[in-house]
Amino acid sequence: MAKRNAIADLMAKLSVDPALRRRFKEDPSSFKDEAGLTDEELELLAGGNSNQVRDSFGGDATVNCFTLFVGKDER
Amino acid sequence: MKHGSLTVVGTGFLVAGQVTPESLASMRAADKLFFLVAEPATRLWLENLLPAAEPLHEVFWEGRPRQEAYDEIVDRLLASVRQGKDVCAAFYGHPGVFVYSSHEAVRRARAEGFTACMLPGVSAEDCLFADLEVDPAAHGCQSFEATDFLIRGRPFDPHSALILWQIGTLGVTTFHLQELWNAGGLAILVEALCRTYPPAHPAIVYEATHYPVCDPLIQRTTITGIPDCQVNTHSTLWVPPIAKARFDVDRARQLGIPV
Repeated sequence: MAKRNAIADLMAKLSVDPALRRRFKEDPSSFKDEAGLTDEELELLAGGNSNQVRDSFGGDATVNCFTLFVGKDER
Repeated sequence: MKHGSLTVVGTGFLVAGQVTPESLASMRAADKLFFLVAEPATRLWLENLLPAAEPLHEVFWEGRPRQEAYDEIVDRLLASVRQGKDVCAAFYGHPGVFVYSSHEAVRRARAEGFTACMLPGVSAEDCLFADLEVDPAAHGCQSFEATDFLIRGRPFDPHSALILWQIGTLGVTTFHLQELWNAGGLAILVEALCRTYPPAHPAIVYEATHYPVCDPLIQRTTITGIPDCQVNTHSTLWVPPIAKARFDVDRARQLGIPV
């Protein structure tokens, strides 16, 4: 759970700070200590594969689309 | 006005990055926060931010009619409002775009005498305009739910851009765990589009990114190439205009436009 939170916390920080995001793209390894992530986790995040990032949260990760529209009056 | 209120907000697509300050303040100020988000990082961020926040995902299960799930969400939100709480409901994307439950909950809360409002958010279409670098004002832009587009034969102008939502769920009204709910529907969509567009006309299958370390998924293809793309329930189709629309010289002169 702590690891999942560490990744989510980093995602939240990067999503609100473009300068931090640029720094991550240039040198992901510089986040190792401050984000508390392993080399493998940083490599995964730096790989930019959204399915792999999502899967890193574990088997109970929410993975689907919920707020899809469906017309109530079908005809 | 009765005690109890409802505010519906959107969380956009990028974890915390597309939540407006107004929406964030509403979430923080609420007595009770419900949320429905599409991926785990946003869920964890929300749970860290507001530990008492209650997820709504469990109303969905394999094969359940989605309308039933949407109605249950409305009932849960209203039950909390009726207890006199200031309730906030956060949905991913824009809370008023392709979200039946938010509109219905606001409507019913008001009908019962409660204060209710919806705050704007960042929709998939907003992300599409930015990521594809297209301006809906350039040629006009028509936006349809894909199943509705097909079953009602929506008239549209191919000289404007066309956006079709939910191309991965064509004709499906139940909930499923897999990423693409109706692969066969894509062939029907292609057949319909080919009545208007040449088979080789460009099209883009688009998916906004959920993570700041990932790029949006932008698959450039043709109309007939759509079924070969990686399509899922989040995919949106963008079809650029076929040509410039006719310029009406007389009307332009009428408006004082130099021609």
